[in-house]
Amino acid sequence: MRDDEILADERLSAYVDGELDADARAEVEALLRRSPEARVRLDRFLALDRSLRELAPAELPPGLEASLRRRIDAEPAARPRRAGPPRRLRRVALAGFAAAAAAALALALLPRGQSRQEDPPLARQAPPPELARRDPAPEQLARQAPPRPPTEELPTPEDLPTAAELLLVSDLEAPEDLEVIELLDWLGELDALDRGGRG
Amino acid sequence: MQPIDDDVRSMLAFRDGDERAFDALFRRWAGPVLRYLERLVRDRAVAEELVQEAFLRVHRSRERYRPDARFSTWLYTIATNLARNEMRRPFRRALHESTDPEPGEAPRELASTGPAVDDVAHARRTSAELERALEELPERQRAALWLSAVEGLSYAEVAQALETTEKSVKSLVHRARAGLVDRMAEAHPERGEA
Repeated sequence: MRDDEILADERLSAYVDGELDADARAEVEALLRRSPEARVRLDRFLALDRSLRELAPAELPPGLEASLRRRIDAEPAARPRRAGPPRRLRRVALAGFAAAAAAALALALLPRGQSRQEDPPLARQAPPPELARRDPAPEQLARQAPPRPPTEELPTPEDLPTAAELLLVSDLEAPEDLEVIELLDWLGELDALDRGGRG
Repeated sequence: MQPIDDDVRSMLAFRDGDERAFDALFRRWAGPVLRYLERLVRDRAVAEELVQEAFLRVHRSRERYRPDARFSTWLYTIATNLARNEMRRPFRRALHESTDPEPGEAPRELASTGPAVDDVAHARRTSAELERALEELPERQRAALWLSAVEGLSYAEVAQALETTEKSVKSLVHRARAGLVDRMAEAHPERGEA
């Protein structure tokens, strides 16, 4: 099909959809009066559209509406845009969330930290003569071991969130569900908590 | 702004707390959206899931709803985006690219009142061929033609739903329509039909 034929065909298609202005519509109608091929083409376009519409009636399967209603009922209740859980609950949730994140970070870093402290310094240090001659007592090893990195930044089991706190976090909004402004609120509160902890 | 139609009125009533208005919108639009999604994702179960997801999003978005366009245009935009996300998944893309018809899927009858057996058989065959030809169209052509020719959206509304221009929609619809007509004419030269 040549370019001008494609354009004419495209215009015929737009004519079927009622998308032409008055001038273009008049031109197409003039073409249809003088061209049997254009009339055949138009008939085929119209027949195709009829066939498409008959292809699939808009029927809903039984149970789809009930299923949607169950999902809607399971959604958290709608809340005003700036409202949220009470501030105290949000702080507990934030604290739990931060503690969980810190615990995950600590667990990820701990094995590498241990290998760094244990292997190279002990292997490279020449043992004192008295230790070289006999197995050291555990308390001596403990005294000679290089100082462990400060552990106060790592969470102890007491620092980890309790199951109740985690449940509380999960009951509140997860960060990925927040909009940007609300997420910034979360981060702002986290900073405020952090500053409060230092001050 | 468009004049406020019944759907927009229902959506505004729903925004103000009338759950029955939401139910009415679902009953009015879930069927058409389902058949549109089914044409896009080519999987009935997935399409049903996406219809629910689309209306869940309508439900969640009620407070932010503004009657800037027809309700149906907004709904088809949501549905189109959901279908696109679904088709971007790797395993879905493989299915989407497949051209095999669903095994055992019975084509729908075109005639409804006492047709001859030959006519029914022919209608079924034609319907199945049309479904197959439709499936083989590029996704955007299929979506544009369906929204325009079947769901009755204007080119401007289709452009909004597909996030493109009216000029592009005009071309997409034409290529889809011409491609299907030519293919069906090749399949049935004796009848010269679409």
